[in-house]
Amino acid sequence: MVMAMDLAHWQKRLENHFRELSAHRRRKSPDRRIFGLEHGLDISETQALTTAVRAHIADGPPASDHALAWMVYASEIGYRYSGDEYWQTFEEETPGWTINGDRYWVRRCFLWFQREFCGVEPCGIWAKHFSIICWPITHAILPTDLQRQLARVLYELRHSFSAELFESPSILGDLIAARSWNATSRFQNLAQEPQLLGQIAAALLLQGEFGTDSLIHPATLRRIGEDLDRERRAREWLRGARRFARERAQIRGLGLLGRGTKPSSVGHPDDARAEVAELGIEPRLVLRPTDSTNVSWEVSLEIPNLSHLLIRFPKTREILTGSRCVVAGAAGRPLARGRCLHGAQRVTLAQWPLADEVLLRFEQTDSQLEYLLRAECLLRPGPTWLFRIASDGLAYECRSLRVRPGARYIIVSTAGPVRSNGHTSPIDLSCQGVHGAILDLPQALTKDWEETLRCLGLGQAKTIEVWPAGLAAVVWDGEGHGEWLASEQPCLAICVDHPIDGLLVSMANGIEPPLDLSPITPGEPLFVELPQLPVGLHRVRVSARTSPETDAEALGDLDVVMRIREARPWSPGVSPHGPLVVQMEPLEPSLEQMWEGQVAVAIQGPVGRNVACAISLFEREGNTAILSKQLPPMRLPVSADDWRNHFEKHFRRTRNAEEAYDTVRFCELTFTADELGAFALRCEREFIPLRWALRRRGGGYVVRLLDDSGDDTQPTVTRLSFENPTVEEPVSLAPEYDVSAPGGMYVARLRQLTAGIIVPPVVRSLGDLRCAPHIDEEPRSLEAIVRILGIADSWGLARLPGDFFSATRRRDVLLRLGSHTAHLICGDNWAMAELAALKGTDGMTRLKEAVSRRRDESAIGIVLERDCADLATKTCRERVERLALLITRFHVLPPISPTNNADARLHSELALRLASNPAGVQAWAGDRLRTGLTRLMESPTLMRAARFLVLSTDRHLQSKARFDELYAGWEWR
Amino acid sequence: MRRLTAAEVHAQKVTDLGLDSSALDLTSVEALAGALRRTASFLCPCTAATLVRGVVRPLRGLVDNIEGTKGIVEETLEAMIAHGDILEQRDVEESSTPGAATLLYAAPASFVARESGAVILLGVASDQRSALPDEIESRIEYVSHLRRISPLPGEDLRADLGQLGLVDISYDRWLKAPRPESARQHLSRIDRLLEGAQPSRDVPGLILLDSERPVRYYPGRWVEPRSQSGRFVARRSQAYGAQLWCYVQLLNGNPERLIDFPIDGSRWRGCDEAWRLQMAIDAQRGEPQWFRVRPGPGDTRVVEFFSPVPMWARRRWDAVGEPVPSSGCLFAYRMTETELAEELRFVRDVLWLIDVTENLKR
Repeated sequence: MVMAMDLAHWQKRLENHFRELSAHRRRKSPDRRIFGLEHGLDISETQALTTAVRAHIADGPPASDHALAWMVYASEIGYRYSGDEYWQTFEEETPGWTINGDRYWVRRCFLWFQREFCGVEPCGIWAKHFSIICWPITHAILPTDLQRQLARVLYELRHSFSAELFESPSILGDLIAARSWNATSRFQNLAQEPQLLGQIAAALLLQGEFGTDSLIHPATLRRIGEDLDRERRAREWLRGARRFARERAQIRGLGLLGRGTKPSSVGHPDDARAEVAELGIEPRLVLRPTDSTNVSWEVSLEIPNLSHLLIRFPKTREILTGSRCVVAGAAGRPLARGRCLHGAQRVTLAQWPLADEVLLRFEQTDSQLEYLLRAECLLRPGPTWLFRIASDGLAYECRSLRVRPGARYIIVSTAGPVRSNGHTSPIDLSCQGVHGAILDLPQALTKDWEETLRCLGLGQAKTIEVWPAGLAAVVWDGEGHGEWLASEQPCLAICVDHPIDGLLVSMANGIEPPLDLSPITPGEPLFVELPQLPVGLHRVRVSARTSPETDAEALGDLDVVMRIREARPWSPGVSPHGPLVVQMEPLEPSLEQMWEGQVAVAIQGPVGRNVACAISLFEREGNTAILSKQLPPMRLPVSADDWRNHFEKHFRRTRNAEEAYDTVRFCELTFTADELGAFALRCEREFIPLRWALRRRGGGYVVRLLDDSGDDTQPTVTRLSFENPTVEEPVSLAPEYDVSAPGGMYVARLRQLTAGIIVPPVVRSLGDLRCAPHIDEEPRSLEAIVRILGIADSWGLARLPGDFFSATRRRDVLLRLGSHTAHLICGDNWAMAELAALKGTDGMTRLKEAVSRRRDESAIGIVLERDCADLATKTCRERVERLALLITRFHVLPPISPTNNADARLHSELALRLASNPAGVQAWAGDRLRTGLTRLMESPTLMRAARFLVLSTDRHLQSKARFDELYAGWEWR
Repeated sequence: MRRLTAAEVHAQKVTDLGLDSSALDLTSVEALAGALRRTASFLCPCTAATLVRGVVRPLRGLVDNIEGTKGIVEETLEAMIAHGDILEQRDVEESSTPGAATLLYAAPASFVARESGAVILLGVASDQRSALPDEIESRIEYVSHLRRISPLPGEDLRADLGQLGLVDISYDRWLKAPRPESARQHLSRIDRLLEGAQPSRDVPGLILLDSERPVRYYPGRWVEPRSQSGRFVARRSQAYGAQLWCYVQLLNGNPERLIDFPIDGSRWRGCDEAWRLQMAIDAQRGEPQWFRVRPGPGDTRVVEFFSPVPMWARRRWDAVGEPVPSSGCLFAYRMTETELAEELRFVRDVLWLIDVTENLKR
């Protein structure tokens, strides 16, 4: 039992403690900071301090004499923080705070602590956006919900640990940051402070040993360790990582801090090339027979898992996770965002890539990634490629043009058909630009065969053969290139087929002295155990010697290239090697994105098998779900549309879910398919500094603005009604707003931050179901259009609460804003034709005629009407191409230059985006918006054609628009 | 770097697999099963041939009879697929394409809990020897291709493994079998499906399971089509990957109609459906397939089989018994006397086999 002390005593005690701690740490390392959580109090003391703080604030405002007690109190709340509302928890746990307290005062306490005691100062983008709560959360060191994620990342990186790494916390922090690309956004916030993250990680791993005793206060470290121990998997991960850390902390000079682990900034081009080569991201060509007679073959490209690229080149993360990948020569759609980070991908090629064509091209890129891909992602130099047909019937690309007797090969050439003679059998390749033939080599090659090989540019493989002994390597090409895990000790078998005196096995980097092997019996394998090799690329040279006295003979050399990589940690659920293939876009969806149908979940697996899905909604971490629902099973394969419809029908539109949604902080979705696998997805509310919260009260709603920006300026708030959606009515700032029955949109703005929420109407009668937004007439001008698009953006980006009517009302508003925009660009006649099209049966005919009444353009509407059924089946991008071709053919858009196709494409896309959904156009167009709109106003036929295309395809698809579409079939992704 | 003898390579790699190198070498079924799981974690999805090659090639120079070892690897792989460590499915990325290859996939790390509290481990952990922490992994009992763990007093293994993230597959679901029916009913149902199939043209690479041939020697029942007429369980080649299983109607050796196995939406493999159909055909012909029982050590009996059985049958015996080496039959399971009666009833009623123990003695 701790004796009750007042805050002045606590302050004194903490001051003594922190002074001593700060001095001790500075003595060890001047750049190491201390944290508020390192207060050194045990559980009962912390509880007593909490009681004293609460007793004080209940009576009056906090005093600067008690800054340390408050700083510790705030850090303790930060330690339990799990992404929900910090201040709400703070206020709930601190009666009197709302009357007597002040957030800015809390920040001043931390700032004083930082100055006086060398306390940690939060940094990074996150700290800028959340300028107050970043302090207590950073000073909480490692909030409980992030502990498990750190344990996992440390386990993943365990083979990269070294003594040098532990002495350089910032490098260790960088490494962890690079590896956490798929961690939650909150963990990534933590990773924005690599120095601190490295300090925390080194302390957790080495627990005060090996000179790490000054990193974190021992009692605090023990506490975090004990909290981690509560969850079994986290405990095992940390235990595994610690075991390696202790071993590695004693070993120096392994070179682990070199290329193997350190994130690279790409300095010298040759260094970058070498680094990329170590990663093994080179795609591989594979031929696959498409008939049982092996006459027809298809060409595919196997793209390896690119997640290793992220660790070494962290700056590539945004592109690899957020950009789609176009594969050279592939016919289908680009690979979904982040797909290359989840195991190898196989893509069929319709066209043989050009010699200098980079095989993987991301839609967005930067010079670093482009350079890296140019280094490793090209075809091997042609014009001839060799493929060995394996026992599974597939033909795999060989690294050299050397063949072995008794094997079957396919030779592929871009220099015309392969010369046919008795030794080659031509094949059909379903890939343009290339020819192929099968070579079936006999066990012994005759002179004729040797001549054939020579003519084809092929040679015979060397007579030293090497292979992984005992157990397979992760990858082995059969000729000397392989990949092993860092956790393994490779063992090689070596066999020569002719008499020699000896073999010399040496490692190029001199890790080990050479090994002399003799005598050698031809045809009899001998085995060599290699040392445990660090992550990276290693070369083992096997040289034949004719007699022990002579030097190694170059002719008998064989280089074995060994790539050693980290083992990927096992995680529950699906793996790239299992029969369930899950594609998700975006990779880390928020709760709002899931709710609003903006998440594409596609599941491939055995056709006809069922996948069950359960959804649980949670208000707080650690609490039981407030709603759990088992959805009906879905049949495999499940497309992204199947999933959206299923979610919409069986969850989103249920009354229970609508009501629960507004108060939940995160949801968990679990997909299970018996023995085929299972996977879980957690979607949290977006963590943004300015946001709205909504709750039901009585028959209506109350909205509350949450401002975590810490900005001294107050936000401004406006309200827009559904009936007059372009009229912004200023509202004075208040703790919360009781929203009247008609509902509407509330928008808060603070410097660059904007947050909106759509409050649904209270539906009491059938009449309340309808909404007819009205927009006042205004003159046709660029400014008017830009203003409407800005308002459309606000409506489009505003968050939707659970009630379904908020979504339908937003849709009504956006449809109206869309038709108004069309009116402003296309003119009054067009607007009347659109009205007629909505009402009359022959309205679409009138609309078609209204596309252009000029004789030389009148066919545009006819062509679009004719092609409508076909265009309805195409993607938005394909429609852009078709419209661009059409307007070019009809000279609708006066060209900037005679051959500027890109111009037609850009303006066609702008017109189609405006015509199909005005929200989001501003963000898409960026700086090009004003010039683009000006050109559309000068050439309204293009906008009319776009609008006609949108309305006619929507009608063709029976206006079955999805939840997040205004018009059926117009989803821009 | 150091030179190793073949025996040292065996010992080192057996240890790498988490097995006891003093009791096992790389040719033991336990080590081969471990090597298959490990290789599957790198190579899957792949064909069976690729996976077998991935295990057999590194054994060159370490075993005397590489072809014989390959045979054991293939048998072990078949047992593991039946057991659920590795899953056989049509290429899931091409599943809508007719003739999509049959590929092997690594089952996710999962477990089946028995009423006794013991668990059977299934599946593969990518890049890792095991998904389990060391202290639990060290308690795994390896018997042939099976991995089991018995609970310690007071331990709730099911809860522990669930918390570690392994997929919990219920015992009933794991043992799920097709609904019971008589051989006649089964044959009529499949015959009706065949009769509803489109006429078939030339079928490349067709081989037949000849019902006329003796049921005792399964490999000897496979024949090339010549001038046969009638309905046959068969296999046919495809562009790549394993041959497809099918049921074909021939007239003078020419295919008239054909259905492929597995039937769409089925949870079983093609071979499971084909083997069950052949059991029904043999039973209806009055020549049912055989089993026999011989005494085992202690209070156990060994049940020997002469033809392959569907995976849902093998799983039962993986759970209640254990596979044992056999000679003179295709495979055998040892089980206790207490389990025997129920299993023999299952064999007779569901698989339509007959006991030839007495006949063979004579």
